[in-house]
Amino acid sequence: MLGQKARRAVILSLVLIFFELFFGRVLELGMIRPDLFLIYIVFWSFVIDRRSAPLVALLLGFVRDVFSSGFFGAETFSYFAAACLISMLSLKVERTNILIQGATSFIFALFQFWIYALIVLLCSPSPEFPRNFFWLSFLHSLYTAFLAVWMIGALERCIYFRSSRAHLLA
Amino acid sequence: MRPKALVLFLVLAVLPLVISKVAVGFPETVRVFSYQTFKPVFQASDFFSDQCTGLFAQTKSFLFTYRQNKELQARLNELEIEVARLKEENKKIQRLGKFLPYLEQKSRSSLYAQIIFRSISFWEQTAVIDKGARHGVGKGMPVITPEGLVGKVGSAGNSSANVIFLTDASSRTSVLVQESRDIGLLCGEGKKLLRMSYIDLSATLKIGDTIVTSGMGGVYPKGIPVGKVEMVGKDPDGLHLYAQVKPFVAFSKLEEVLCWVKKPEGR
Repeated sequence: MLGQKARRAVILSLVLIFFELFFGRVLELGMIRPDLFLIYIVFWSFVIDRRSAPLVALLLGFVRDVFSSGFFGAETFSYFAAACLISMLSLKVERTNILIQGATSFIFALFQFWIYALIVLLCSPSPEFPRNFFWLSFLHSLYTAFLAVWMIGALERCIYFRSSRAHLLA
Repeated sequence: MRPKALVLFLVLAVLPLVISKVAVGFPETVRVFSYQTFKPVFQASDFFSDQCTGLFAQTKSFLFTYRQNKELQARLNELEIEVARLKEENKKIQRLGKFLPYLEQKSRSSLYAQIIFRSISFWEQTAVIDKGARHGVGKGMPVITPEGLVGKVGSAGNSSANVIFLTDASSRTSVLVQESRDIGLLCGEGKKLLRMSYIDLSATLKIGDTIVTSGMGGVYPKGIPVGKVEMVGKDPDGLHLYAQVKPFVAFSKLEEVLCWVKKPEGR
């Protein structure tokens, strides 16, 4: 049997996947769209369980691969690689500080974006990138980080039903 | 994370890449199947997203229209004020255009003046103009408009002067009938109509005749139009005729006048 916390985490993951896949367009600003999966992985790594974050990233990456038209497998691998980085980072930083959460989300998003591009470049027979790729990746990461600052706290309340972060310090 | 688990995860992460390289058609099959399975949800989400985006765009458009409407309303108010001002200017130019022939006369110099105050007394038919002794206005000067005689300057201050209208009870003017050349004395009665008295019993004036100044008395030059005969009758004493004269000037609508100053000889 799953514990109450794990059950909530699973439900939250399903809701997030559903929202990201089907209603993600609502959050679009021009061509820029935040990556809710990335935010969720940072949240998972910082708040729930650092060690299982790569597994969550693997699953979410696979879901994204299935529902996208890019090079199959690139999302899975890039999420996984970035999650490994986050998992290591979360040991060394102050996880309760929202600025650090935002900065980590920014680095995570940028890293995942570039790894994805690198994989596509190496594996795809005809890789195509937008002309302003670096600028777009920067804006995408920035938007994701801004949203993460607000979202991680909200997700935490959903899991623990309280605003206190005492559990992290315990 | 234990090394065994890490290796397993790494294999799992690389596996889709390997599959897409080895079995090229397999990823597409998986994707098509997924899309077909979730097609109704995708359609619903597309509809919802379109509605949300449309609502956002409409709200943005509404806010823009609201702001633009406010700006245009303010601009409209400004323009309405401007139009009213220009209309007023236009009417003023039209009125002043009628003064031009008088201003160009050689024997007399005309001084343009605006009426700045009108007597509120029931007994007086006078007004104050914005020109006075400083501008050359003096007591007794004729005051006219393009329509006809208004009256004369009763008193002049430094920068304003008091004008006595023909309709004032104290006004007396020597006039003649333009057609029959009959002479009379035009008196104000504090009413709209003027009374022309002391007309000879043998006079042949009739209703509709034009009354002009006679030039006698030294105040008004000869020939200034004054009004038209409205009624002719016999005085109660039976020695003279009298006539009711309707002045050409609409005293209640006067805004600008000309003070008619005689030029010194030799100029």
